[in-house]
Amino acid sequence: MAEPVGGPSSGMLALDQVSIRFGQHLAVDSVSLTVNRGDSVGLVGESGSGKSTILRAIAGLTETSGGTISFMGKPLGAGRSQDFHRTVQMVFQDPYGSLHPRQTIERQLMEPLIVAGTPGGQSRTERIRDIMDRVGLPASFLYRFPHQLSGGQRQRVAIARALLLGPSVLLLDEPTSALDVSVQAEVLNLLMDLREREGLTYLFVSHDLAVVATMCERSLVMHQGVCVEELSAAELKAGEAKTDYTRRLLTASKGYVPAQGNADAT
Amino acid sequence: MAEEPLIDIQNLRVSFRSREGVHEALRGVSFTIGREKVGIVGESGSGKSLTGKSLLGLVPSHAQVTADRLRFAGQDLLTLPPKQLRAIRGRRIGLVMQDPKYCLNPVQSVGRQIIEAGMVSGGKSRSAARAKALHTLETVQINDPERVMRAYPHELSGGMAQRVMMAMMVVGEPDLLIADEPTSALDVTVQLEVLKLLDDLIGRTGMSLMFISHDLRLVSTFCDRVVVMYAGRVVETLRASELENARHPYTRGLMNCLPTLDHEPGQRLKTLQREVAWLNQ
Repeated sequence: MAEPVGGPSSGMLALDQVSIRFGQHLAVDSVSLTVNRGDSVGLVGESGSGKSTILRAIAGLTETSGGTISFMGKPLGAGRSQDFHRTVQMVFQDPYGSLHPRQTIERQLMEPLIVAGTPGGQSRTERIRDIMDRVGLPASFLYRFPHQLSGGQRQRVAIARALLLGPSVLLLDEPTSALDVSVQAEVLNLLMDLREREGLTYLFVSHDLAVVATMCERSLVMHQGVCVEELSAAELKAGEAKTDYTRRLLTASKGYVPAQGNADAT
Repeated sequence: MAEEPLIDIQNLRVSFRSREGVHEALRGVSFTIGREKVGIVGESGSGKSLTGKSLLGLVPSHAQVTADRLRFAGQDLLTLPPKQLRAIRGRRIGLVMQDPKYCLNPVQSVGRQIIEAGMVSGGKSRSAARAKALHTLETVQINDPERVMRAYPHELSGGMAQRVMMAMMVVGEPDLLIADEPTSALDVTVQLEVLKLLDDLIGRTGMSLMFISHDLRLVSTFCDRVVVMYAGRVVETLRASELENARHPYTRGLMNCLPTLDHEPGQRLKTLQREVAWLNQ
């Protein structure tokens, strides 16, 4: 495993007043957040709240228009180095779209090793077999194509691919939203296992408060590009939301409440 | 219920023939729907959408559909001539699907589409259908119906488009509305607004609802009864209020594997242990 070089133990990843603009539209408006080593931080919000855009900006897939993103205490510029990508990896929502349809699983898992220039031959194959074992997939799946796997299995492959280079931070963008609830439970458990076993740091994006409450000790609630509040898991559990918006989200996550006389208008 | 139920499905089977052999997607589904809200819940591939489509005769033409009974208001949907089937489909049974944008015609204004739906179902004149369309848009809580009538689907938000879709389906005052994941593509807060609307419409018109969803929590809070499907069969039918006392291990498993706000962070979720026996009960 690649040990992250240097850096203080706190503030592994920090966003300071980051804004992201798409043309006239301000998608993210001065958002600040700090993720310490070993943390699991959630970003919750509805579509268009800017939560995924933040992840993409950290990964270097989207340009920022203001503020700074620092990693290990050093501000990041427009590009991202090989080292950065080795330590920070991303898992996307759609396991169908993120895997190559015409390549075997083994071929796809080989790719990051080739790109990172790890020693070839036997050791690569061993690493791939080892990673399959760690995400709970049998080695025989290496010779399958994505369409021969279920959604949950595909997402495990995507997680395996992200873990191959021994990252210390995973950026997870709605990793279980496309999955059935029973499969979601399995994938979330796997992510919890991996984090405990390998000391990973998570930044977890989800629209589902319950998922974030299960996965993260601390969460930021996003609304229309602004971070409206930060909640600890305990506050979330106790329903101690400070803003109306979060309270509405909390109510909505409990299911439908039939109107009895007066439904509280929003 | 003494009278005949609105929907009566008995031993519905749908199979697809392919090179690999015959795939049985529905393997003997039976349930009835009266004047009530019934939720059909299951995971992907359980056959819940296909059940709804079978009622409307919307299954692909190469599929084999058989049933002991597939009746709507006393009429046998399997043997009904196409003309009479058309008189039911879209008029007495409406369908709302998951992605409103995908179901609306992108190159026609919203108004034209609702008016057309009204004319087809009611045989009204254009001006009467237009008045009806405006009124229906109001009932689905669209504040500015005149403007929305002129709008094209891409000019609407997801929640608005879903309301338009609902307006289009209820403008002909159907007896049954089949809603296939009507709110799954929407944000949670919008989702509740759309459901409230649906609830109001049902309360006002007295139509029945078949609510197809993967979301057990939502269905159990919204519907009167829940039909749980697994691998092309109904494993359990029960009152929504009694979901906590579900007997089938699949239903219980589904409920237990949902993350909740009460979870301690890092506390493992219960997983669903599937049993082969469930396939053949």
